[in-house]
Amino acid sequence: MRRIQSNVDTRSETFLENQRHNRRLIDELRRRQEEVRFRRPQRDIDRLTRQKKLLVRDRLSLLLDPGTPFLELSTLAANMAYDGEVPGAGQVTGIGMVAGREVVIRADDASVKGGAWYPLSVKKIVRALDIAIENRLPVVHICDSAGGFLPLQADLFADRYYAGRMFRNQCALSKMGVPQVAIVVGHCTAGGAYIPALSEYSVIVRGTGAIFLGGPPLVKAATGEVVTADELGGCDLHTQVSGTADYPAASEPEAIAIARDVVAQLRRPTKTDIDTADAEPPAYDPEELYGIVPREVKVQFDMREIIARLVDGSRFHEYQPAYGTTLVCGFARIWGYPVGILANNGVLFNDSSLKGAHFIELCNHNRTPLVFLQNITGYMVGREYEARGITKDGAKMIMAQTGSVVPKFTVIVNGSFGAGNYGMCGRAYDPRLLFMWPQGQISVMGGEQAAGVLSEIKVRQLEREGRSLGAEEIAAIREPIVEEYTRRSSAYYSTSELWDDGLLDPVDTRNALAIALSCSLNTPFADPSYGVFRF
Amino acid sequence: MRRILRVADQRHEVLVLPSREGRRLLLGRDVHPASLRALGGGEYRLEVDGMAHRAWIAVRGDAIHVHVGGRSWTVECVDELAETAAASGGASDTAEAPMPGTVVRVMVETGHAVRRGQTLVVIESMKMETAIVAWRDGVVAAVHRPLGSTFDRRAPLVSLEPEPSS
Repeated sequence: MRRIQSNVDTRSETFLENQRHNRRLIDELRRRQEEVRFRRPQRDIDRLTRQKKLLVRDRLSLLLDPGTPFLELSTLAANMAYDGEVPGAGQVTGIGMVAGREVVIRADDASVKGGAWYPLSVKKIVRALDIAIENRLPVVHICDSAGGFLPLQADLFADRYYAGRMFRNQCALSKMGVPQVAIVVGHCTAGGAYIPALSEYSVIVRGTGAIFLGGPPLVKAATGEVVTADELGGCDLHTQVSGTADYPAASEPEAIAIARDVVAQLRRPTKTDIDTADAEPPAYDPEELYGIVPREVKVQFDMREIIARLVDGSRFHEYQPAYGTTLVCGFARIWGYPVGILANNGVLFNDSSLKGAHFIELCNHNRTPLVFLQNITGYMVGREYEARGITKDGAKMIMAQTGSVVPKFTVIVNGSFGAGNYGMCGRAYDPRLLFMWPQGQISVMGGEQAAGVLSEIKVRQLEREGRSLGAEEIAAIREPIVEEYTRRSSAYYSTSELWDDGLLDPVDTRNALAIALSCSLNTPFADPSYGVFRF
Repeated sequence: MRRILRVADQRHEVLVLPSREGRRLLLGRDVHPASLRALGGGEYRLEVDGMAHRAWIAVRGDAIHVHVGGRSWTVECVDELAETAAASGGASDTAEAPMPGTVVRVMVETGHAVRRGQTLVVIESMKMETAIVAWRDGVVAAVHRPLGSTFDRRAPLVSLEPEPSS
């Protein structure tokens, strides 16, 4: 496999300016992640200390194997929702190592609104369990939740992918033979009570842990019975009498130690046998990515420069290098795992779309996981391209995408616009994990164009009413539209809404993909099958 | 497996063949039994033609630094694909438009010396700006499209003077 020859001039003014710009964005990302992880009002910390409870981050460090990576997912979920008052959507989820096993961890954060589940908390939990299902990963739940956030119950209870889906996913995992361990360190109220009940193993802490369908106030209101939380659903009741929980623990550290011991007993999965090789760092320094990604989303760059800084030895076997050149396809390795890469080098034409569909099929037949690197404005428009069938060629790519069964991973490196998002394995096309770089933008079309269309409609409407508008008035209509559109197409909005599994520092992408690849091999590859391609 | 190595500006082709103990190296018509065993800390036990040597080896990118028998050598691994591509004339001397569009910036003139990676012209297409950069060091032979002109896909944009053949 040939090493990519970089054309980047690391001393150029453009490189240095990009570097300054992107480092600022990463500093901002790190700052916001730190805040979400650690900054809480003192009264919430005091309350937990009074209750003799650990903070969720301390629980995690007791649970995880020391010195191993933890791939935290959707850290900034809900960052643009609920007035920013529910950091991380009150949940910590991620993939980590416990007793030498890869597991999904899902933990309630009781320092945020008592661990109450907001609509985006439910979305984050369902997503974590989807990841567990797709990659056959055992799940460790750390339960400490007040239950669903009642004022917003209509947005979290009844629909297909709302709260019921969490328990449905738990049952699906169990049916597949993928076990779950619940550590009950606080209250599991109402729906939350089913999480330990549907786990194969559950540990409960005496004094602070409790499981009940209705808490003491509800019981009093409903039946007049007066009971304490501990009498109603505490450790001894559930481990000695009801059998709802399995292991009693005297303290949180003991409960976590028991859970680690349980995980250590779990059967090790057999990994899908693919041709791995010794890992090799990229020949080009991944830090140079900061100088390559441009300051503006409309500035194109050669995606091979990105590939050169993600893959082993910067080696890339390019497939069809002279055909459909706006889509770069080829084979490489990431930490020794073989991957087929599809990366955008411009708008998708007829030939690049066909090449993409063909390469997806090829990788499905030779059992190679796929990595999509998105920087896509969409498919080419215009009469000439319609006449050549650009729509049906794009449809072929989407058909191939949907029929693909090898593990797929998507990184939105820069722009993700329009149907290009679909053809390049956007969220709807089930990538095992989807990450976004912080300067990325995602929307049905570019912000300027969309704002142009929207404000044009508004202006014409007013003109029909007999009002003629000056340039200033048009600008006054246009600006708020641009602003709102830009806000809702930002990476921060995407991650707030869980359209992705988290924002990544470009430099961390290689490691994140390697963890994702390793996990994906727990599931055997199915046989590909496709619908009808329109030729 | 065939390896192309460059040692002190000399090109060598080595065929590495398996054998029951270690490897057999085929250099020209000569066969040399060889084995290499790591002793830790960059130190190795190297055996060639039945003679054992102590060697220290460090790998950096495509360069392998070897200290053996009181002397140091730098062995460069040559990529066969890169070598054959260069020998067959390789890349064209002209950059073509990857997509239809408009020239929005012209950064060089005929006769300018340019470095690999330097921006030659910037084009705009589907609201995206693409910089056409020098694919090698060279001298600009022609800028085919003036500022503001539109072009189709595969239209020539900038040519460099042909490389003097070595």
